[in-house]
Amino acid sequence: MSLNFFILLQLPEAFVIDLEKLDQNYQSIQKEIHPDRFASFDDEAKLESIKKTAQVNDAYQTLKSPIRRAEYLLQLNGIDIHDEKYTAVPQDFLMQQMEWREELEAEKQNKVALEKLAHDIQKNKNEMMSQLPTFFDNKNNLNDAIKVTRELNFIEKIEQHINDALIEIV
Amino acid sequence: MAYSDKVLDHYENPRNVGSLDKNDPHVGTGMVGAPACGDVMKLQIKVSDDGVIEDAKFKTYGCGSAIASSSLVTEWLKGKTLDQASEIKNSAIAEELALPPVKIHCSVLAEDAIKSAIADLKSKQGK
Repeated sequence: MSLNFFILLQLPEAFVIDLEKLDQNYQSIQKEIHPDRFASFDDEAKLESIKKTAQVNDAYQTLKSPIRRAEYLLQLNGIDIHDEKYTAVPQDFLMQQMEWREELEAEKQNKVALEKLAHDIQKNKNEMMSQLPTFFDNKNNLNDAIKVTRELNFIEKIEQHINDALIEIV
Repeated sequence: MAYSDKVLDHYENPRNVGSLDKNDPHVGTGMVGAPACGDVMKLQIKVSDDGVIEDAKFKTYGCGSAIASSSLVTEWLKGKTLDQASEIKNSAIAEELALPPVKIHCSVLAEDAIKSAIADLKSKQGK
């Protein structure tokens, strides 16, 4: 069992975290456990330092991204957002996804249209993200947190496709 | 990862891509999505008065395996009754397309799309 990422980076276990503190803690822990400091130690200590460094990096990347942090918090609550058996995403949300995907397909060569689409999606994403702190604050709203976190996975995916298309144009 | 020949065939020549009129009382629309990979799948069936599927169309935004799974089921669905259609299992889809374990969820998505389309049709027809 790996150590809790929040404990590892010395932060309270919550969705809203102090990002500056996250950076500071990460850097100071990183310095402490860096493999270079263990160069003259025995192999076991060296290996331990490498393992710990990988773990701290993983923890940092996870907590730094709000969506990954949300997924991790849900995971700590025993919920696997990536459960492949789950496909019953709300219909209206999927309909919207389908429309965006169609628009992306139709406007693949159109930089202006793609940028507008990306902007609209970003707005949507911001709204969804702004709901998460309240949902995580209140344990009764965990189902809402699950729903929004799942939906954000779809949003990330289409954002990625739009970026790929924009790179193709330039 | 290498795709099987059957996946490639459906991916390169997808059957029955498109849409049916979702307001038609004889048309059932299924929409499903996989949060893990962000794939979105729409499957529509058109059913005659005696309960036989006359037409099936799909639109899938996702990986090759997801496209192949939905393309394959549109072929399978035509001519089947709703009861027969609801018996289509993801394991049969995965076997036909020789999907590797990491892509089994694409066949799950296709099976759930069939169920979702049938449920939509039944609720429309008040059954």
